Amino acid sequence: MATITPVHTQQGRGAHLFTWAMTDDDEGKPISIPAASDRSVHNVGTWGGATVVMQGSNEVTPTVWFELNAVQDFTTAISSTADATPGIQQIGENSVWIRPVSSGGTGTSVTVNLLVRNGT
Amino acid sequence: MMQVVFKNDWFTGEKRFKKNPDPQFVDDIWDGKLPSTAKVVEGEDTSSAPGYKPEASLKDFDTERMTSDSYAETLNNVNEQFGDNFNLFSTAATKLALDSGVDIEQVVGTGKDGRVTKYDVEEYIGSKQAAHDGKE
Repeated sequence: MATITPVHTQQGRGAHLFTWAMTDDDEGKPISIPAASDRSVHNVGTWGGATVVMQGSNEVTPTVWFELNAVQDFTTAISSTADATPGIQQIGENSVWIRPVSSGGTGTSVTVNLLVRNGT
Repeated sequence: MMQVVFKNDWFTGEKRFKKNPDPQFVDDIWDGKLPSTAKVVEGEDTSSAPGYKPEASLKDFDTERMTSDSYAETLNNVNEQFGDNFNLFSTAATKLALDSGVDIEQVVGTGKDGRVTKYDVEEYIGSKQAAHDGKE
């Protein structure tokens, strides 16, 4: 399991894209942008049976992570198994830290694209 | 070509320019509704409008790319853009963490507002070293 450092790209003023190049059973190096309340994720690539979830932690120094959920019901986990499954997801919870985690795949090469912006 | 022209200075107003001198970034203030003073015209040339950048493209927004070396600095910069006017990690802490191979997000910050300082990184390294020595 590797820890993947994200790539940051500014998308216009006030919006930022963070991308992690995930392979089999990787963890993304977490980011902390607490003021960015709008967060959506779009994952694309070669899945190889993998599942990619987004996790959050409100600990100042993150040690315990919880799966984040979709904004529409706060119970549907932000979890992807294919490019279009389920597509772009809006994250419901705002957390101090956020990271992607991949698991269960072979030959996985998935790019996690997380867009954050201030929704106010 | 259909373009939108504003009769007042809602879009290009002085206040707007003082806050953001680059008027191409409207997405963060525009709610998708045109102001009541807007009108739609056909084929009007706006190339002389203040701030017009015919070469503007998505690449213009690509201002920085985060690597493991710039991780902490990038998060600081992004948070500052969101109005969090404090740095998660001090410059000295960032440098020491990089030089020492420490994942800086694992360091408990004891500075103002939880800021990670050089002292915190030193303490973290010391605790890890002590734990390592204890196992031997």
